[in-house]
Amino acid sequence: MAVGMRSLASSVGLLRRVASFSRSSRIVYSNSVRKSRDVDFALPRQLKPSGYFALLGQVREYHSEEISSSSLRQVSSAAIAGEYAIRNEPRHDWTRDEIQAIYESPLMDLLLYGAQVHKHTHKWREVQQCTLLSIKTGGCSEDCSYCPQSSRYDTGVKAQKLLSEDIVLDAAKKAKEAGSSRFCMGAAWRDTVGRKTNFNQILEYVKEIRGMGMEVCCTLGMLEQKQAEQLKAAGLTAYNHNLDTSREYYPNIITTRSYDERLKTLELVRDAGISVCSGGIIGLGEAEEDRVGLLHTLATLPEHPESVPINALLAVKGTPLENQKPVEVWEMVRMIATARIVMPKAMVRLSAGRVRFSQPEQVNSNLYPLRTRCSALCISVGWLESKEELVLINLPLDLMFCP
Amino acid sequence: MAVGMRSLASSVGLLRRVASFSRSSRIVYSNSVRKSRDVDFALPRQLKPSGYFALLGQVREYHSEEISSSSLRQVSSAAIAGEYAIRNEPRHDWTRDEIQAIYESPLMDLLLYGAQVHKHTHKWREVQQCTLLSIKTGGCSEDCSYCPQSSRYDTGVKAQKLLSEDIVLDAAKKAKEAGSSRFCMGAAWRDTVGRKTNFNQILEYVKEIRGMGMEVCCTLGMLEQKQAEQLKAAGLTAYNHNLDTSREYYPNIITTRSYDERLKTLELVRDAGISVCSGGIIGLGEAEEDRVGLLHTLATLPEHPESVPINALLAVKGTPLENQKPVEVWEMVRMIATARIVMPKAMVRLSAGRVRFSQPEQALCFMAGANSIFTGEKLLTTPNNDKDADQQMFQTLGLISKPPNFNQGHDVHERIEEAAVA
Repeated sequence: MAVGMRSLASSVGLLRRVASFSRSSRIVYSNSVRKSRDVDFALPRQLKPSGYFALLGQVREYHSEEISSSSLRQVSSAAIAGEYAIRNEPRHDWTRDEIQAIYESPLMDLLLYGAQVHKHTHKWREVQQCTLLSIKTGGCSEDCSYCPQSSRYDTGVKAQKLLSEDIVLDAAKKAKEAGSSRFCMGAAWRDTVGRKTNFNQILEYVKEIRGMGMEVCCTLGMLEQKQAEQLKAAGLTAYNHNLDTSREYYPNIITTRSYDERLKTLELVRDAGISVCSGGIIGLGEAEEDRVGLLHTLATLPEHPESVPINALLAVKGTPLENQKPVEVWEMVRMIATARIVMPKAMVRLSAGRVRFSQPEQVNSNLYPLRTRCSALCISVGWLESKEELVLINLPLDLMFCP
Repeated sequence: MAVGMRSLASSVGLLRRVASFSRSSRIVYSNSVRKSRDVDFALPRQLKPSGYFALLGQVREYHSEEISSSSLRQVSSAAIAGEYAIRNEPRHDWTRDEIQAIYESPLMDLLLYGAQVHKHTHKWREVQQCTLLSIKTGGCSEDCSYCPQSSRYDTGVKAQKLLSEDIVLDAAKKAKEAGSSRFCMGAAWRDTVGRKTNFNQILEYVKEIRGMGMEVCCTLGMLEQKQAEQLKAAGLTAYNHNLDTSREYYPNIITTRSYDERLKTLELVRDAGISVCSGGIIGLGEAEEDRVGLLHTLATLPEHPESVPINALLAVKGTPLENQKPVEVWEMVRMIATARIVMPKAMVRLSAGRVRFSQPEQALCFMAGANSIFTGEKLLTTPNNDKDADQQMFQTLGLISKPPNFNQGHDVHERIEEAAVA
């Protein structure tokens, strides 16, 4: 089976990388995809990356002893990578094939190893609650195909000016009372360049909200270096700037700016010492390779993002993507679990689209990576039909919320 | 919070039992429920059951460092018991309090530790497929309140005689082709006593079906010792006889026979060397304590059952329980995870009622430790999940069908020799 073969090649690839990662001398071995089910005898005995063979042995103990030729019975990449992740530091040298192999692992393995890595790295049962407020809505010059705030699309979203201080701070207070630990402000702009007045206003908001004892986050489009530094000085905790999708698929979604410009902004945020929040959207019509591509770009950044929001597209009438088929929970679980396994320390946020999932489905996503729910108290973007009066969701899950 | 306190007391209880379990000398310490959040300083330092403190230390590493007074932030009993279960042999000395504390643990913990114990003890992703055929339907003399086959309830189920050989064997063949590894035959009887002809017929079926290379299981009511031995000789793999609920609640469900009679049958099955399949039903109007009671009885049998079916009541019009509220998936998950943690080696079967759960809900059940299901159109007289939907679910989740295991139960001759030697 093509999937099985790729898994094997990628497992071997993973093994090779780990081998080169270790302090043993490098060896060259053939690239041929072996039919063998045992991945470990590809390496000669004298090369024993310390712990890895032991690891693989343990992994095999946990899995089917009678390894048949069925690809299903193979030790999946999710299993290998998961077991590796709980014993080692996060990797930044993932290959795209490796992440693809993890993404394609059997779902039950993704659930289990997502959960294992999560339990190992974070406090199990702790879920972060964030609140997102749109402080400047609509009238955006960009052409992002998923977004109702673009002035190019007829979506019924009315352009508004920047919200005044009392409104913003009131919303922040309410969010805090409702249990949010992070308050995010979003402005529908291409960038902050030349928006001196508005930007300074936002700096004020950042100071005030930080003073309330909440994490503060902004998503304001592309930044200049100076502005990044000002935001840091004002006390900004994190800055969001999603990559949205893979580099290859990006031009299908947005033409008014480039992937590299996005990466540049992330670099500026990173250099200014602000936490990076960067993720993407699935269900834009991309292929699985693109979802993997997105994760690959994030997982090979010099530092993994502090948080990775995964959005499931909510198709809005009037946008080019209005007819997209909704994403199934299984796709979210794959995305979330893979993100969790390859970037263990990141907060993986179940973002837009969560409103569509029932409780058991959210728990399924929970089992892995899930770490935050946008308790979108005040999304004043009119297109979210479901009144997201997202109060604390009354799930019988006995969740604890991050301080 | 009452729950938190009980959890702590039970954690301490668990600790005490583990302490007595270890080879260190026994100590007595006070029964007072401590307000303290750290469960382990209840034991003086010189008593270190090997590995347990290390265990608890590791458990605490995984959990909230800043243990606040909120009961939610305590290390849950599910966590303690789960970590213990993956390092030790299954226990038969559970107290009811301990199981109650596990059952009441935060759901996310039950999911995680159910999964951990399951992964450790079984092959993750392997799910057993069984098929159940009602070979003698309706007209039953008993009064089990959940059952549409009782002759006392007007449920529209028509009494039928024992099915003929060609029908039964054909059904078995089809089940095998569809991927089942166990074929179960159920007869709506109080017991098999005096039903010589029918019983011998069933012995034939058992032989034939075993010859097809499937595990064979029967559920025929109460047995006599001789009949149990005959079934074993015919090649029967397992015999089902559910306890249904707790001893205390049992009289509310069935009055025509007693809990002890049920336990007696399980004992006869065990002594004959046949695998025991015994579980119960939730949603009969019982309290949580009764669900825990059922698990407690099963988990303290001399041997844990080889399989534990957990049924969610499908309320049938005409039965006394027709108006029962359907069980939520969270209740199933709690039951399954608790069963998995306290009886790690048992097959935990997601049985009747699965038809009501969506695939994500079933995925949660598998995550919690369920590793067996019934496939096929019907479960006795109630509907079951669509076969194609089940196949698709297996594909979606990446589940593997468990092959038949004939290496279960006991060889009776071995047992007799062991007894002679001892």
